[in-house]
Amino acid sequence: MRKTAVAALLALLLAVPAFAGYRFDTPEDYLADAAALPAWAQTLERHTADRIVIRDCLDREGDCEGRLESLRHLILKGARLDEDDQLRLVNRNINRRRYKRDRRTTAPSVAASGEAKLSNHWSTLLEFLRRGGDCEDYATAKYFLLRELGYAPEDMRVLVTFDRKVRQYHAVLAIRRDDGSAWLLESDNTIVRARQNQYRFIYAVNEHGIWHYED
Amino acid sequence: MKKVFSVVVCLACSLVWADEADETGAEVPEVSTRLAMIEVIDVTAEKESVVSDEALDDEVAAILDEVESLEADDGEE
Repeated sequence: MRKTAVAALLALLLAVPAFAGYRFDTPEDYLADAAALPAWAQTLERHTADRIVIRDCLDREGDCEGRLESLRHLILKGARLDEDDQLRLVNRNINRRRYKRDRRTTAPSVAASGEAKLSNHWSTLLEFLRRGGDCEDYATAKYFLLRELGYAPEDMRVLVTFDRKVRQYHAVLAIRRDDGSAWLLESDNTIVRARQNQYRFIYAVNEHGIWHYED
Repeated sequence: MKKVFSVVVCLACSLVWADEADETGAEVPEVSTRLAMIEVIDVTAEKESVVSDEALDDEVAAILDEVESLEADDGEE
């Protein structure tokens, strides 16, 4: 009986860190400004240009071409929903897009060293709506779409994780709710509490910064 | 029961001690090194969308249908 109790207590103590939730309020994990990750910084620049086109389309329906017309409809109708439904709308809309694997390019910071290391491509919202993308593009598309619906960048991060089930790196959008809890907009259409039982958190980005969770 | 209590106290003390040792002894890599490490991580997991059992609000479902219909009309891929 005692041995069982000891084993149970040990298992509980060891399991606690593995089930810890994702937190936005960990300044010790802050690594650098968003500009320090070139592929992400370039995506932010391209999205800044795209936003002018999106804003013009929202102001004047006649300025909308191609995917912009449906995007306008989504943003204007979505703005009338409550927060829970906005998250469901964005998650479902983006998840039904075509999965397309990256054409990976040499990372700028290592290109000079001559090493053949590769970097991810991060899409803007308009690029993703036109061409589809892979998991980090789904996450960034949700990020940019929720920005259009008025979500603050401080409450969102594109979170790169190691998925223990499939043993691959996976990107997902993390959202902070009013009560401080963190939630993940998953690519299987679920919106779940951000816990480490399936994922090991590696790093996160938003338009302000980069956070790194491993030394 | 005393033995159980002792084991728990010892374990808790060792965890606290280990944390302190990490803080003072482990070297944190340079920011540039950490950036280079994360830059080359291949984020590739392919997780298919599944039809969730969760019922969607009628208004959300209607907006999704309208968007899909508009995209079918615009002719882009």
